[in-house]
Amino acid sequence: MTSRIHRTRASRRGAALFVALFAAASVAVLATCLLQLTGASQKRQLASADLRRAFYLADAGLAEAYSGLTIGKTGNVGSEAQPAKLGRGVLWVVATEIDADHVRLESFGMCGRSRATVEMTVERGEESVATLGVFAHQPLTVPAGSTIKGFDSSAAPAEPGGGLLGGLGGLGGLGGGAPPASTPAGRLGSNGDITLQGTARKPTVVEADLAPGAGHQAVIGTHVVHDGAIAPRAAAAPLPAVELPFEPTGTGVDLQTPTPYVVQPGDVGIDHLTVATGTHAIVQGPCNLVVNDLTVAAGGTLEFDTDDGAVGVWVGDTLQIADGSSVVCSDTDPSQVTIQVASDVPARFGAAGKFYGVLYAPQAEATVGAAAEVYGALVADELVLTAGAKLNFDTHLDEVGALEILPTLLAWRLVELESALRHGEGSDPFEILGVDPAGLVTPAQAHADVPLHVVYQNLGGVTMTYDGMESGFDWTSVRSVQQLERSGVPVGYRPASVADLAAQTTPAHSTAAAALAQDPPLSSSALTTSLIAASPLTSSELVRIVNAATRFTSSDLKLILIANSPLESNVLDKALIASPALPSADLAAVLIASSPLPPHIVAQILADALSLNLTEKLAVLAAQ
Amino acid sequence: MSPARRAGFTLIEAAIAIALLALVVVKVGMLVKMRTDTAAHENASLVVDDQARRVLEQISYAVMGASRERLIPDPESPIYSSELRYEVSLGVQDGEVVWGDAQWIGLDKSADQVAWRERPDEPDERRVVWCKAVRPYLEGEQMNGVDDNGNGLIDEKGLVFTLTGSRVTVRLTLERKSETGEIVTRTVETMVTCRN
Repeated sequence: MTSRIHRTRASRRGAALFVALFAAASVAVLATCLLQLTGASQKRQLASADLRRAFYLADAGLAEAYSGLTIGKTGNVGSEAQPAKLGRGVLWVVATEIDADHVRLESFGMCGRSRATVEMTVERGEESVATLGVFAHQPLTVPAGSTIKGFDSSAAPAEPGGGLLGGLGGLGGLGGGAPPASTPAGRLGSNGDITLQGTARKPTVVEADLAPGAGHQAVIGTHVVHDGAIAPRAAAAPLPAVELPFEPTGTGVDLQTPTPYVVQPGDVGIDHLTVATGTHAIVQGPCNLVVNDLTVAAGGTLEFDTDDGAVGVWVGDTLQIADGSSVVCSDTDPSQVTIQVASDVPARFGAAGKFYGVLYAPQAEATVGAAAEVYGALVADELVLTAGAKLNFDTHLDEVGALEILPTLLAWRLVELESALRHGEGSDPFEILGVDPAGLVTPAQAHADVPLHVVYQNLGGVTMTYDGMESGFDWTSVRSVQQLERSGVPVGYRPASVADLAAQTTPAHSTAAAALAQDPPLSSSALTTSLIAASPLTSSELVRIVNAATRFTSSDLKLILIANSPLESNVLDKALIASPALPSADLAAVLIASSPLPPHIVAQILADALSLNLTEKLAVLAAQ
Repeated sequence: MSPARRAGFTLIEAAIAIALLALVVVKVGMLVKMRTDTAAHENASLVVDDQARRVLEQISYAVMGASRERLIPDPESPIYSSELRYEVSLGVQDGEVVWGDAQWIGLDKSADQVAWRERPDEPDERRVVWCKAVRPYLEGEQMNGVDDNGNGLIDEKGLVFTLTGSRVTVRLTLERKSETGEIVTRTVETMVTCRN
């Protein structure tokens, strides 16, 4: 009996164990399946999200590169070896010059184990010659009795009861119409000398900035009232030749009757348009009128109706708008009417009345009559001004020109979307690319360095000039910019403020940049003293110092680096690999001061990739 | 306690135990079935959702590189359609944009699957089915000449493109039965701007 009870108990115990094991195993299997399902789903969702992020990063890279192109940069942003960091991902952009007018931007974005590549091809914009103001390629003489001013056609007109100052201040106030509320400085320039003449009876008034050619000067005579800055150009302004958009195949038009003749909207090409005395021609926009000869006799009227669109007139041969003729514009926006002369035949613009437009004759001598009032811009190879002419530059043309200079998108395409990269090791882009995230900069800071020429007013109001690489320039010390060129090309796009400009350029780092940008330049020892006094410097400042290694003796550079040791990985890379500015003994001293070194630098020492002799190598390795 | 008395008591005990066990088993079975049904429904929802989003992304990336001027139907006239013909840029050569072969996205002949075609209607046409189970009409819509779902479109299909300027709005409804026979419906929508 005892043995049967024991057997029963033993049997029950076994059954319980079996049931328990079965239940546990079932739960384990179910849990594993659930985990695998959830894990797979999460992985898929994460990969999808990373791919989307990588695409957004690549797209952001294109935007950054494009914004760089608008301000004269190369379009290169970072590189695969040193990408820009944005959030949990990286990006870099490679700009390729296809030809003089086209740039291809290839942007790579990486996030997680996903990578996206997008490509954009842009056509470079052209700087609007209208922004030159009143400009001549040849030396320019302003005769006695002339008036040259500025205005802003986009500003709200002054109120009729705006008082005496308001009435006189607005240019329109001199002759009725709708005077602008303020009078910004005009712009008078030349690739040669500028001479302002005046007499006691006929004083000349020039409320404009004067920009004589590089190496030339502005000569201001007696009885001349000049209000504005004088700053010679850094280089001659090129005046591109005019090309006719299409051939003028139509027969000419000779007006004989007083009934107004209307040039209809659209593309119109005729051999000549002659507006005789007592006749009236109206060019109705939107219209592109190409004509070989445009003649308006005294007593004739030429009207531009831009109510429905702009008017562009291309003159292939002769432009003769005689003194005593009239010109009428339906709008006060000078960007709506453009007259371009393609030939080198002397042109004349003598019409009375206010001409709101741009006259461009890059190969011709252009004579402006005494009764002419030009509101807009006037650019010619040679300008002959008659005493009494009134020329007013519209500063709003700067904004219009800024749009023209912007690169135009030609083509965009998605090149690659790759999820779960197989090449390389690692779970994030930093590991895959083998870069240290701490050493990476933001996209705005990752633009390729370019030569910079800037004439500016510093915070103290002193006009300064800087020529050098942009990384060495401190934008925070700038109050206003007078001239700006990157890679020798004038930057046409002018941001609203210096703060905006600084925001669009590589940010300066106060101490190092200020010391390096001193004008006249500081000596190596003086620079070293000021930089060591300001230590510890940031990594970016140290990189900037290493980039300007030629400004220092090697021992001074070593002192600065040691004073800021231990150096971060990117500074070491820059100092020791990218810029071998230090002799081996100094290099060893810097390495020892920064020990323990990052593994990749130790690996380079072991691989004899650095120029260290055996003793120096052993000393550095011993310090690890 | 005699052995006979003990045996009788064991029979009753066993009967009660079996009854209770059966009750528990039935309850557990119902619970498991309910949970299984729910899981199947959730799983089907996830699959449909995942598939709808993936197809929508595929369509977005394809349409993004299209040329606004080369879209058919013409985006200038407000219109909606269940198919879109487009061309994407391959780059620039000699200052001119080079365009690739025509591509097409839309509901295939069977009307329940989204297909992508390259060189459509040509002898060497390439065709890939991106997903199946497209609902005959967009969620909430019926074939009755009325805008049932209030999105401004009348009797639109399960895949519909709305064109406005260079913007393309894509709407897609997928519908499939779960293992339990329940209908799972998922609608996704996005707006894409043609970059070219």
